[in-house]
Amino acid sequence: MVATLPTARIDLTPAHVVTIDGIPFRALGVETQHAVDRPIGTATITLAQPETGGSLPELRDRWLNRPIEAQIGYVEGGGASRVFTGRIASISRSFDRSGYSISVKANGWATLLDFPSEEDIVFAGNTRLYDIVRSLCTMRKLPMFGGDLITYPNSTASIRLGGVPHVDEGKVIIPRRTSPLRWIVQKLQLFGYRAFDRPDGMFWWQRVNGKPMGLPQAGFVQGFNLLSLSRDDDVGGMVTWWDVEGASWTDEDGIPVKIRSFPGTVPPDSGGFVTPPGYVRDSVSDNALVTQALADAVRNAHEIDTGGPQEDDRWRYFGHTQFQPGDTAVITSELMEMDSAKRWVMSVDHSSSARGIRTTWRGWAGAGNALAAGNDATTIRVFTEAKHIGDERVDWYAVPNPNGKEITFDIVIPNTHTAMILEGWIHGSNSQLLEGANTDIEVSKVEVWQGGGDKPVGTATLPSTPEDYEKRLPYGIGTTHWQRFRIPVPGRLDPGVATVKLIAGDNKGAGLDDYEVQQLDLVATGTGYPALPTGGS
Amino acid sequence: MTNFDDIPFRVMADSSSGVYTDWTIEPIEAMELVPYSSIWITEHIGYQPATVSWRIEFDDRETYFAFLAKLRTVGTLTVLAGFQSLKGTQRTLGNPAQVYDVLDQVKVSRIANQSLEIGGTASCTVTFERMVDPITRLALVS
Repeated sequence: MVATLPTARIDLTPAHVVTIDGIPFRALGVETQHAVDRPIGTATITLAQPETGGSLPELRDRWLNRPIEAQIGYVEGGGASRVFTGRIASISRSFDRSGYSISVKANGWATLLDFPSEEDIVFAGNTRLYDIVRSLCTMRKLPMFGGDLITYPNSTASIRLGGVPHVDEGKVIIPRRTSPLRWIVQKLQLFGYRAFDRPDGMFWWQRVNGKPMGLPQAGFVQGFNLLSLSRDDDVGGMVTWWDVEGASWTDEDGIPVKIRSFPGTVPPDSGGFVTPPGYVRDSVSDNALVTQALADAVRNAHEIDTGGPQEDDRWRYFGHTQFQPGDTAVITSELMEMDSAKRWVMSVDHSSSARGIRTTWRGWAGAGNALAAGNDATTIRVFTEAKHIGDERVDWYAVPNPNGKEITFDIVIPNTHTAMILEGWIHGSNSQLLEGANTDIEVSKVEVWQGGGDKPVGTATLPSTPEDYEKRLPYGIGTTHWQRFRIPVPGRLDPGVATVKLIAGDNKGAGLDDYEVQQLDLVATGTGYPALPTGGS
Repeated sequence: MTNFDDIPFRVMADSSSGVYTDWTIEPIEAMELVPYSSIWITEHIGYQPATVSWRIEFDDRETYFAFLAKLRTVGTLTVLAGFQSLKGTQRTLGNPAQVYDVLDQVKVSRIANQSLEIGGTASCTVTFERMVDPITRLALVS
């Protein structure tokens, strides 16, 4: 017995239309390229020999930088649809024994965003990134643009830039001679967004991050509507530990601040994809990250993209124009082990010629989970109980009898740190009751000694806190009458042991400055390090 | 009065079938199988130019050589009405008067099998080519 498969036949009638400056021209071939990672769409269009000579201006005067639009499609699918619009960037002509040929290359409208300004472009602080992108598109007169709200990866709160006075006075600045397009692309990518020309002519921005969650716009099935499908799995792009560094500045207390985000724990390499060592580290750095929340958002956006092996899918079918980069496709192929697999459509390339219309897509989906943040600061308690520095018994102090004119303690400087800070509670420092009034003095200080030298590696004056001698405040009860202080540990410190001295200053003629300190902490920032998976190094 | 750009000739019947060949219009198609299926998809890209090949005969060599010079040129073919299927402009010519189809935009694309006969006549096989709409069979203006 002979089994026969019923054969289905589908007939399609391709059509394509090309206009230059609104005038139709006979095109022999149309090739377009659009992708979420290709901000400017491109096209190469081969034309029949155009009319030249006579009183007509040269082609370059008629065509270069003029608008061009290409439409392709099938009569059975409703006719041709736009697959490219932009401006002609180059014309190439030649002849040889096989005849005359002419083609033009064109770029999409995102080029309007790509030329730099000769002046800074400045936005007010705390502006939504979405509004900045829209403003730039309006400023550059893009014919069609739009996009999603730009939000944190795990909430609907909008991403806002600027607003920290220590960084660019709180403003958002696109420096002169910077392409606004490059700026947009770079900033959006931080948060898992892409900005790009679409085949339908829209300059668009949207989230392309992690796994696609929305309803798919198209489905492709092996043996039904796939001419080819390839799948590559690669550990090359896998990153399990993202370190994000943001802006740095010195705050009002003189303490260096460095925005940094890293995971508290690097997840185990359960699939054994990157063992050894069991993790892969990479980093992102951008001065626009002026808050911890922004840095955490960037880290999370990267984590959900790269936490697993990277899969790259490419498939091809007859021309399909109602489908844009950034859409979601669902693919089913037993041979490729894909069962209704949702993928971001990363690129859409159309080709129309005498050989028919073909569209090639590239698909991808992020792999990984957002991780909890690690702590970038190490706090070491130096002492808890109150210490009285000075030489006078003061009955209402927490410790009436002084511990000495100076007290010393050793601290261990971590191998890596961006700042060392002393924090605690203090009263009476650099203030004495002179002739019935609190008087600021500048003699009580902190000295840091290291390396056996004959002078300290750094000195900082303690804050001036009122003595209020006549009030006889009950310093032994709680911290109500104490002031919180926070000062950077001065000097350039090497890893290892250092000695810190709290010194009562000697105000000539008025004696030593008595003061008390309690709950003294040493905070080292920039020391954070995630817990690595077992087997890591 | 059958002529090409006023160069007269006679069209001979096909020697084997004894009939006069008509124009053919070949479709351009791209056909592809959807892998792992029995689905064939055919794209109808368009049509090639209409072509016809005739054996033609000239009364004298001067006329024959004038025709040879028309190779790869585009001109006007005048043939008896009803003799072929393409649409042109109909005109009544000659004495006795007869109706002719005047076909513009015709290209002499190939000349082959030329022969010179004793007595001054000459003959060859010529292929004419014309871009036409396959439905209306009217010439397409480029």
